[in-house]
Amino acid sequence: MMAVLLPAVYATSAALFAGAVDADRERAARWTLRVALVLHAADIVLRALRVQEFPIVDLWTTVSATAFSTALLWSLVARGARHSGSGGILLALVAFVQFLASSFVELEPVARAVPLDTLRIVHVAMSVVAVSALVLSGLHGVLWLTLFREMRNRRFGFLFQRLPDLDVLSRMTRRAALAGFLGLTVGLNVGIALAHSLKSPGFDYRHPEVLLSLLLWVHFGVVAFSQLIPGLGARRASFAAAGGLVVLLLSLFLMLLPNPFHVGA
Amino acid sequence: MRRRTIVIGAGLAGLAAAFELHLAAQNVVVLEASDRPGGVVGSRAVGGFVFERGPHSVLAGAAHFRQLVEDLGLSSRLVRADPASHTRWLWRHRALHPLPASLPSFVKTDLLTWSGKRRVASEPLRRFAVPDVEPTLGAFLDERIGAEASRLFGGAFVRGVYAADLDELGARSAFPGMWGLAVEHGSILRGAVLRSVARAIRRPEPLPGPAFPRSALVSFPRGLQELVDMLARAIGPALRLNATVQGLERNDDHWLVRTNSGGLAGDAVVLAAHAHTTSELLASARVDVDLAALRTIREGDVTVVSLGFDAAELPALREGFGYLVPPVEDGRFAPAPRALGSIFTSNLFPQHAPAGGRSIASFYRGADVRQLPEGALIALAEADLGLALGTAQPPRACAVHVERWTDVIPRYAPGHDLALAQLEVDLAVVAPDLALAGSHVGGVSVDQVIATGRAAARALHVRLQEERA
Repeated sequence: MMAVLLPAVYATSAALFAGAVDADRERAARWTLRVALVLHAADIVLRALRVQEFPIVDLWTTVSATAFSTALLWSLVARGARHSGSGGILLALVAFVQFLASSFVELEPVARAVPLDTLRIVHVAMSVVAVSALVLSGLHGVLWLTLFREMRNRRFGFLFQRLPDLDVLSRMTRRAALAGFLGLTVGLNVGIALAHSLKSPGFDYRHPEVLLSLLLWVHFGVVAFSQLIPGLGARRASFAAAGGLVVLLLSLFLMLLPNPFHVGA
Repeated sequence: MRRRTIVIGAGLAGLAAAFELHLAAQNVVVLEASDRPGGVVGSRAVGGFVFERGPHSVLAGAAHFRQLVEDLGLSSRLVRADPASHTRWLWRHRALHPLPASLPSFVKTDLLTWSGKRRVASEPLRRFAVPDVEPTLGAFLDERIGAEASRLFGGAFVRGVYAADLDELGARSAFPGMWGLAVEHGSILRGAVLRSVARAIRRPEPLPGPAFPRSALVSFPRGLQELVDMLARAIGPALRLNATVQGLERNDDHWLVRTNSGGLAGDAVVLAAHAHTTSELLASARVDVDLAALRTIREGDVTVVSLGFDAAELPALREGFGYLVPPVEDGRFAPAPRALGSIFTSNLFPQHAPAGGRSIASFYRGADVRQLPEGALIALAEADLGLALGTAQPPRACAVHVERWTDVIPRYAPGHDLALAQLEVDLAVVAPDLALAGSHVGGVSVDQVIATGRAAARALHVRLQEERA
């Protein structure tokens, strides 16, 4: 039932945020999102109880966890910015991703052959949080560029009316990038420490997957602290965040390829 | 030999300082990096309209401004804003609402809920406990008048004055007068009433020039540019434009200012530049003081879009001063103007528009909006005005002027006032022949900026005289 319910509730909250034109409707949208998050959290916990281990066990449970993490992080970032104007677009994406996850995830949870130890759980969990935050940052960067383009072309239509001010969007981009940067800092370091401690065969800093992860870390670190870097205004930071999405997708793709030290999700 | 004072920066503070030194028959040189004096103060005539570059008017009760105007012989040129333009509007619930200006209108207003009104009304009954650490303005107002009124009225006002959010400012640093009322009387409202009564009884000294009500707004027929022009004329050739200061050095008993056209020696210096420039110059001079008060100050970017219309294009223009957009209405729930607010300038000063013309000025904050091309900014201001006035189509302007300001309004964070006071004390010890002036020193209003300039000049003049003696 959750497989149908989760994307449906996310989609409903996305539609409500997109159409929220007064405080009452926005409150309804926020409550719907809360319901979606609680249901999703319950689903993750139930899966964990059934397999008696960390519930991210394969590609689609990872995708589902990423959708949950993205929605949760968005609600925090939007609350910090006191603006939910990007909710319609962001949560529609979450609903789509969750729809894919719900379509392919094993309905009967399957446990891993070897359960994850604590360090691996931290590595996986922080990586999921980091990916969600980087997706958020990148998408807000795209929204900034879109809104700027709309305004430059003197189009004051739906997007202009729904999206927050440019400076609010750039603040959301930076905050999400900071969350991603911190998540990656923990996730990467734990992963590298694990690789060293287990003497993982084939682990090499020059491996494209490791290199791309480090590149992402630096890239979103620059976005997160762009306000402190002379010459790196909101426009360049938004381009950087949007460009980071491409690097992120490439990095995720490489993670899916078999390699000796990393088995992906 | 007359000793020379170098004033760095020909904004209003620098000009006022130079004028004060000029009155005291001091040898003064003013260095300005740009090609015009006045800084953010100035006006431009476009198609019969007078568009202000920055501030649009000054309170008639602004004593330092009135004294300067009198000293310059400009008092007879002062014009008072139309008394009918006193209504202020606030964007709320997809429309403009008049701001309550009296107790009955406060009771009747739709802008606040009844619980919000009750919270404001109870402010005099709750004694203010002075905290150990200066709170943000947001926290201070939330505590005093409740979050609803604080965010709505305080938030809108602060955006209009500082182009900032409530939580970016320190309550004492940004609004020392209001803080003083709360500290002295235990309540802002009680203090304000008592102060009004005291003023009514004492009857303050009349200000020089025309007898305008102190709460009236004033300007000049050709805008505030008249003040800048007169100051520049009074200072004469001592004002050097396009003179970028690249460094400041101290050699024994004099200062050496390095500019793009060579060095200049002086006995004293007034630093009337931006906070960060001032900080860099003090660092280059190796003045041994803690510059954190200047380095950490954040200065906001503001873009002013001035539009002139044919009156027929703006039939829905309201009476009154203009409108503010509070932060909670930033487009969160419904379409709202992106501007911090707009001034209906031709309502204030009809002489600033040609016959049959109307003008408005809209203010936008942030570096992001500043990057938009001029055409887009004008279209944005027109769209905002159409939304605010509820017209089906945005009005089309027949005259425009766009002014983009970078790092223009200092935002006094909590603790700024104490850090700055310490800096000035330290400077008086290690560099008594140097003084600071400008909006980062003593307030952002035109009156306060003039006060800092003249005070800095007077202090240096006294010190130079003491040295000579």
